[in-house]
Amino acid sequence: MKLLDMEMYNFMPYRGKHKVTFPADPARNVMVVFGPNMRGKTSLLNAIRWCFYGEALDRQLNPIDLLKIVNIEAATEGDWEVSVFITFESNGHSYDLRRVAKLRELVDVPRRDDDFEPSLSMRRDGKVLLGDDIEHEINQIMPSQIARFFLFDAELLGQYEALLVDDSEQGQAIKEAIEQVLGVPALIKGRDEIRTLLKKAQAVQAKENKHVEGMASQAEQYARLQAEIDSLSVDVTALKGKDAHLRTEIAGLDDILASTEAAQKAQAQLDGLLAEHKRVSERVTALKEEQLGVLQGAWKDLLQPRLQQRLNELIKERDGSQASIQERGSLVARIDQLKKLLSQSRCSVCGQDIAKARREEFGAQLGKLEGELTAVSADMAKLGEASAEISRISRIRGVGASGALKRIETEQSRSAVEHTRLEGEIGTLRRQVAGHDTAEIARQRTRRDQLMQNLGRIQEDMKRSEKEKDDKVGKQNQLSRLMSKAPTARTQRSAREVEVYGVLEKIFAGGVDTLRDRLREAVAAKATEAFLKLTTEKTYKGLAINDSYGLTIVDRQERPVSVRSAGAEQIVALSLIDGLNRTARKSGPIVMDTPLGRLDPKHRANVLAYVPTMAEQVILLAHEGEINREEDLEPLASRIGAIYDIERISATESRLVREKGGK
Amino acid sequence: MPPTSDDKAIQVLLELLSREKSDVGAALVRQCYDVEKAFQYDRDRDVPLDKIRRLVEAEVTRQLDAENAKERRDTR
Repeated sequence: MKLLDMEMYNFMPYRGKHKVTFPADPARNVMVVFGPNMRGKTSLLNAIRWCFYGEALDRQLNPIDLLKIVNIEAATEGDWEVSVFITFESNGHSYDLRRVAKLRELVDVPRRDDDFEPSLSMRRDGKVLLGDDIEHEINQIMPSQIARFFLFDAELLGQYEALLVDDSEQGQAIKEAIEQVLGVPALIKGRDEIRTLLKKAQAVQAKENKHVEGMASQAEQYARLQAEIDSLSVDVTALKGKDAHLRTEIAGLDDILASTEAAQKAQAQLDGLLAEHKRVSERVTALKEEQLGVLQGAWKDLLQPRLQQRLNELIKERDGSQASIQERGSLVARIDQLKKLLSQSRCSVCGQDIAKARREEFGAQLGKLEGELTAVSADMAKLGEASAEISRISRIRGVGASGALKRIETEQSRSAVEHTRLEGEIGTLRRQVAGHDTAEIARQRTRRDQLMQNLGRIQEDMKRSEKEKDDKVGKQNQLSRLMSKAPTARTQRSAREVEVYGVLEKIFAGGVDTLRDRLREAVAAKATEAFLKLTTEKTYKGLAINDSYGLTIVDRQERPVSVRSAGAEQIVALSLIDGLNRTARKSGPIVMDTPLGRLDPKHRANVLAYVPTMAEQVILLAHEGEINREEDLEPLASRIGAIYDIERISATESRLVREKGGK
Repeated sequence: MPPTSDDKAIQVLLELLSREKSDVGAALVRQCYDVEKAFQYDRDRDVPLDKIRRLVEAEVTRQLDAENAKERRDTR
């Protein structure tokens, strides 16, 4: 398909008639439209979309109301008509397509889209096509389902990352679109339609066999199975309805939860910090108590030197007393001996009289020894006292208050810093969650979890019912085959039809997965070719594809490169689109909005060099910040077929001006 | 021209057909695929359903006619 001209009337910022002529020369197939932001680049993309599919999309890919499509200046003056007229060529035919929306009769000022009367007309090689034929014709040329790969905003290419996330809804939607562009639905729809026709043929066959001798019981069994299958189909349909309802509710909750995601994260963080804050506060209290305890015993440390001195004295005293006490036994013995001698007049050993002088000497000795014994008794009393005092002093031990206090102070100061930091962070987080009803968020999260559980149960039920149904269908098919093999069946038309449909159903059903595998391989190979031309990193080997057509960069050691920049994401997404367009049956002009916004100069140069090979026609809608008119376009000069500038007339009005020169 | 998804699809279907012991011909498979290819993006499914039905009816008629003709030849 090749675009030739487009004429817009009152379309968004383009008031009145504006014409764009697209480059038709295959050697000069690139067109660049320069325009500042908010001036109408995306509106050009939307004009093409609207003309073909009756839908213009905003940056979130939501449809734009017709009321907003009509140029506001024209509308203010009462001109509510909007139209886009495109001429193009495809498969050797020339086409013109015109979409118009006018106010309905009796409506002066429209309030909703229904106040407009839309109309679409198409001519192929000058012959008018009518009604459904127009839609069918557009579907042959460029169906809306695959338009996202031809008419796209490069700023949104990051969404292709969803293909790498298992079970993501966005990824699933993109995967379906990819399979649409690759033509997989031809086999899927073929399988389903042939299956429907097979069922009908089997039913006819069973009905006919009711009257054939020997086949009646099989026909009856077939009819019974059919009734059971019908009942299971009703169950599955009801479950599918519940499944869809739950998914809608979950998606709604996801939207709410996503919008409060920052608050939820802050609340979770806040909960963690509050727990930490409590722990630190408890530690601060414990340290204070410990400090008090240490201070209460600190006097002991002050008395320690004097106490030690006294202790030393007492120990010395005790040791002295102990030595004299040890002598007490011999003193007592000697006293007893002297007392015995003095009580006798003669010596008990030699039998001689003891001289008077000798007796006096013994008496003096006895008196001295008795004096010593009295002193020893006093020492015993002293020993008791000294031991008791040593014990008392020993109990008054020092607490090492100085070291303990130092340690406590260090820990206190560390805790104080931690405390201050936590209070600061808690304050910030409290401000972040302020205004959000976190209890409500928690309630919605719980509700979502419950819905997910319900969904899981419904899916289990659905799987069970579908399996039961498949088993019965299998039995039915078996019966049908048996009936077809009966001798009477050779001439029976219905049996023949069952056989033919059966073969077709088998190969279409089997073909779906085989085709998917082959297409994935082909897309990965083509995307890798593109990627190696677009990337500036020479250590990359290529791209690996997953079951959802998500692409991962692999390096020369075959390792996946998991972290990639926004620019790399864009390069990978462009490679995927190129791979799809080269593998797919349908190819059309590529209209890329903000194509290079995320790219560094080297990638920008690579993309610009590659762009002319991406499609028969490539239209880039760019601002001068992303493409430098002189430097960036110089290497591309020989491939440029047209350059347009969007000029501002007013805040709500722009015009297109084609750059003069050889282009 | 490099092979497109179309070429791959019909190639896959014909490969699978070759593994079947059946009278169904490659022409019928191609015709059915062409119908589905042409209508795969259309919402209204009655048209392709009807076209497939007609194709299969024509195929069955062809098979039965061929068998009848053979039977007549054999009887003679």
